[in-house]
Amino acid sequence: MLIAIEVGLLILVPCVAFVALWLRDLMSAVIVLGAYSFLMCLVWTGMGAVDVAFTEAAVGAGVSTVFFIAVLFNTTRNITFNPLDVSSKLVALVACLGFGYVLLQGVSDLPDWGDPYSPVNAGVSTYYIENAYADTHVPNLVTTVLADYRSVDTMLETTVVLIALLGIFMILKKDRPAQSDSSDTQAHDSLIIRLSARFIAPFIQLFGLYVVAHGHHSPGGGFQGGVILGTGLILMAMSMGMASAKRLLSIPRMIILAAVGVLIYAGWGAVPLVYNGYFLDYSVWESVFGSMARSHSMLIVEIGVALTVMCGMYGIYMSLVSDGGMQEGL
Amino acid sequence: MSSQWAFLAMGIPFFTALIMGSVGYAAPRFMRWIGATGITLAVFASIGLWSTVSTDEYVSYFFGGWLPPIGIALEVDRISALMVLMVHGVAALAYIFSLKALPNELPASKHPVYYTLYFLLISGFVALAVTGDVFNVYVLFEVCALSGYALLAMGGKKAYVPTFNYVLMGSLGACFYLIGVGYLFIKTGTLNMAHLADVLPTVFFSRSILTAFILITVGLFVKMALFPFHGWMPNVYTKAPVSTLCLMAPLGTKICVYVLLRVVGYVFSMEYMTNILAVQPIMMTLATLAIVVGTLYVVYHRHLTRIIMFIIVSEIGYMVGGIFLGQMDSVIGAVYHIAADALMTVTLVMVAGVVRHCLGGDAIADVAMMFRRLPTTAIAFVIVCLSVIGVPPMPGFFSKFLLIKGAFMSGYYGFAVALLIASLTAVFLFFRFFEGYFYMKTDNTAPSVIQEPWAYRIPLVVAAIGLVGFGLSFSYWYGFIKLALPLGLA
Amino acid sequence: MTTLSYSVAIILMTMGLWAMLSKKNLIKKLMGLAIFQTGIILFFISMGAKEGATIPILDHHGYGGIYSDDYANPLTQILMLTAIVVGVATLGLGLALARKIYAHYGSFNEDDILANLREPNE
Repeated sequence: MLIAIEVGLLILVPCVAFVALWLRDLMSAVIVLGAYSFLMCLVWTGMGAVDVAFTEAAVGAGVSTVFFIAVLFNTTRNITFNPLDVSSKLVALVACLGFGYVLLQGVSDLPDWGDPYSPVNAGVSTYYIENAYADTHVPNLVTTVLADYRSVDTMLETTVVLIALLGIFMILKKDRPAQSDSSDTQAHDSLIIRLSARFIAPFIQLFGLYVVAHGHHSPGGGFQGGVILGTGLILMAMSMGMASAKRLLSIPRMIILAAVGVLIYAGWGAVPLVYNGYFLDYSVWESVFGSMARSHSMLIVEIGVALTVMCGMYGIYMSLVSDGGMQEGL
Repeated sequence: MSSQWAFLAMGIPFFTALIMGSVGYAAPRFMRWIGATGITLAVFASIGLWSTVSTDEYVSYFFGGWLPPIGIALEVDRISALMVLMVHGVAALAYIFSLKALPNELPASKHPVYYTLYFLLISGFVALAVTGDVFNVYVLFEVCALSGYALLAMGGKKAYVPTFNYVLMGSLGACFYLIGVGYLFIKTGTLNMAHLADVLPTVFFSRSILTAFILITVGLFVKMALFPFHGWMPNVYTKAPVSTLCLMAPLGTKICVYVLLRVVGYVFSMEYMTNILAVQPIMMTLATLAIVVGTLYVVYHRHLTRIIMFIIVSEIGYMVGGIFLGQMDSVIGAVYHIAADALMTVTLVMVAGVVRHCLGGDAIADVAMMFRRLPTTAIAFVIVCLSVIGVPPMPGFFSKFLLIKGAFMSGYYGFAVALLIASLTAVFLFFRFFEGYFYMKTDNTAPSVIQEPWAYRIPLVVAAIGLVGFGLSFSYWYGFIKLALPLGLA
Repeated sequence: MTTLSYSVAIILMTMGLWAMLSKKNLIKKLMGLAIFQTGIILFFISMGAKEGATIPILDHHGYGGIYSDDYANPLTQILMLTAIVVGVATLGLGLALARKIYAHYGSFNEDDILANLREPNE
C-alpha cells in the first residue's frame, strides 16, 4: 500500500515540475513550484526522511515561494517571447542528453533501493544509529549527527544563511537613502487580514519555539524552527505595513542578530580551545552538565542556528520586498 | 598541541568576520583595526602551520573530537600548508590594498557588510585547502561562492548580469560536484577523503565510480573556469570592483585546482586516473586548448584587466595539465605554479587597479603612461611580467620548466609547445605595453609623477619582493612539496 | 522501485538543467535551479532509505537493543538538510540579482537584457 502511494507520488512529481517550468505566467509557475515542493515532502516522508521533509515544507514550499512572490510583486509576472533561438536550445539539448546519459550509466550499477546492507546503509551510518544515544543522550539521530558529529558542516551552513542575508542586503541597498519624506505607507489592506495575522502570529512563534526546543526528541531543530519563527515575523511585517516593521525590526538589526547567532554557535564551540581541546568538542562541559553535556550543548548551538535563520529569512524577505529601501512593499 | 594551528588558520578569519558582523554597524570606526588584527593573526597562524608541517609533515584536526570517518577532520599536509600560506599572504596584501581602493568604489555605509563577507571568503578558501571531508568541500564551495557573488556584484550596474550568470554556473558546478559525491558515497558509504581512498580500490571497476569521477571533475572544471567552461569568468571579473578582484582572481580558481589535486590525486589516486580510466589524453587536450584559447584572447584584448582574466584562463590550463600529466616533476610544477600564479595574479590585478584609479583607465595607452607617472607600480609590473614570461630566476620560469620537462617525459609534446607559445605571447604582450612608452610623444607638458598612496605602494612592493623571493627559494619549495605528493607518481 | 526512484531523480535533475540552460527568463532559470536541487536531494534520500525501517528517531525507552536495520539512514538526511538551506540561500541571492537586473533593464528576458547591454548608452 505504502509502496503504491510512493510510486504514484514519484510519477506525479516530474509532471508537476514540468507544469511549473512550462506555464507562461510566472506567478502561477511559482505557485505550482510550491505544490511541487509539498509533493516532494510527501515522497521524502515516505522514505523516512521526516526532518528533510519538514525543512523542505518550511523552506522550499514556504519561504522560497514567498521570496519569489516578493520579487514578482515588484516587477512583472509576464514572460516576453523572442523568436526561437535554435542554437542555444541545441546546446542545452546536447548538454542535457550527455548529463542524463552519464547519470543513467552510473545508476545501472547501484545497490537496490531500500537495501539495508548497501554500502551507504552499512557504512558509517550504522555507528551513528547504534552509538548516538549512548554518546549524547539525544534520541533524534538527525539532530545528533547535525549538531554534534558533523557539527562544523552545520556551522558553515548557518554561515551560508548569514552570507545570503548580508549579500542580498548589500546588493539591494541603495547607495543614496530614498527620500525620507515619502509618507508612512500604512497597510492599505483590509482589517480582516490585519486582525487575523495578529491573531495567528503568536501561535506561529510559539510553534517555532517548540520546534527549536523539542528538536532533540521529534523532527525539527534549529533550521526548521528558525524558518517558522522567520515566517511569523514576515507575517507580522506584511500585516503591519513596512514603516512599522522597519521601526521594530530594521535590517541592520537583523544582520547584527544573525551574526550573533553564528557567534553563539562558534563561540560555544571555541570554549574547548581554552582547554586545548578540539573545536566544537562538547565533552569539556561534562564537569558542568554531567552526561547531558552534549545534549545541552546541542540545544545551545541550535538556538544560535534558529536565531540566524530567523533573522536571515526575515531580512532576506524584507530586502527583496522593499527593494532594499524599506519604503514600500507588499 | 601544535595541531591547533590547523583550525586557527581558518578559525581566525571566521571569528574576525563574525565580530565584524556583530559590531560593524555600531562602531564602523573600529572595522579596519579589527580587520588588520584578524589578518595579522591569520598570517601568523599560517606561518605556525607551515613550521609545524615542516617538522611533523602531517597535521590532523578532528572537529568535536570525533575521529574520522565519524566526524569531520582537517588534514593538512605540506602542500595544503603551502596553500594556506598562499591564501593568507595574498589576502593580507589584498586587504591592505582594499583599505584605499574600497572607499573609491563603494559608499561607506556598505563597508561593514563588505568586510564581513570578505573575511568569510578568506576563511572559506583556507578551509577548502585543509578539509578532509568531501561533503564539507561542497559546503565550503557554497560559502566561498555566495560571499563571492555578493562581493563581485558590487561593481555596480554592469556587474549584475555577469554575476547572475555566475550564480547559475557556480551553483551548477557545485551541484555536479555534489551528485558526484553522491555516487561515491553510495558505493562506499563514507565521506572522509582518507577513508574513501582506502575503500575505493575495491570498487574501481564500477560504472558508478566512473560517473562520479566524470561529474566531480566536470563540476570542478566549471568552478575553476577551465577552457570549455570558462565563459562565466572573464565577464564577471572585469566588471567587479578591484578590491574584490584582488582576493577573488588570485584565489578563487586556484583553490579549486588544489581541490582537484586532492580529489583526483589522493581520493581517486593517480593509478585510477592514468591506468584504469586512461583519461589522460582527454584532460591533456583540454589543458592544451585552455592555454591556446587563453593566449589567443590575450592577444586580442586591449584592456589590462581583461588581459589578466585570459592570462588566468591559460594558467589554469598549465596547472590542470601538470596534475594530469601524472609525473612527479609535473605535479610539483603544478603545485608550485598554483602559489606562484596566485602571487603573480594579485600583483597584476593590483597594478591594473592602481592604473585604473590613478590614471582613469586600463587601456594600453594608460599602462604606457604608467611607466612615466607611476614608477613604483611600473617596477612591480615589470617584475611580474618577467615572471609571467618565465625568465629565470622568477617563479614562472621554474614551474614552466618542470611542466615542460614532465610533458616531454610523458610524450605530450603539444602541451609543451602550447606552454612555449604562451611564453612567447607574454613577451609580445609585454613589449606592446613597453612600446607604447617609447613611442609616446615627449613634450614639455608631460604629466608629472604621481605618488601612489601608501596602501597601494606597500602591497605592490611586498608582492614584487615576495615574487623574487619565491623564485630564489625554489629549491627549498621543491623539496618541501616533494614529500607530500600523492602515491603512484613516476 | 530501485530504478523508478533514481530515474525520477535523474529526470528532475535533467529538467532543471534544461531550464537553466535553455530558458530565457531569469526567474525560470532560478526555478530550474530549484528543481535541479530537489532532484539531487531525492537522489540522496533514495539511497538512504531502507525497506521496512522507521524514521531515524530512536525508541530509547524501548526494551532490547538498537539495530541499525530498523532506522532510516540519518547521514544522507543531514547532508540534504544542508543542501536545502544552501539552496534557499542561493535562490535568495539569485532573486536579489534578478531584481536589480529588472530595475536596470526593465525585463527578465535574457535577450532583451543583452540587447540593452550592447547599446552604447554609457
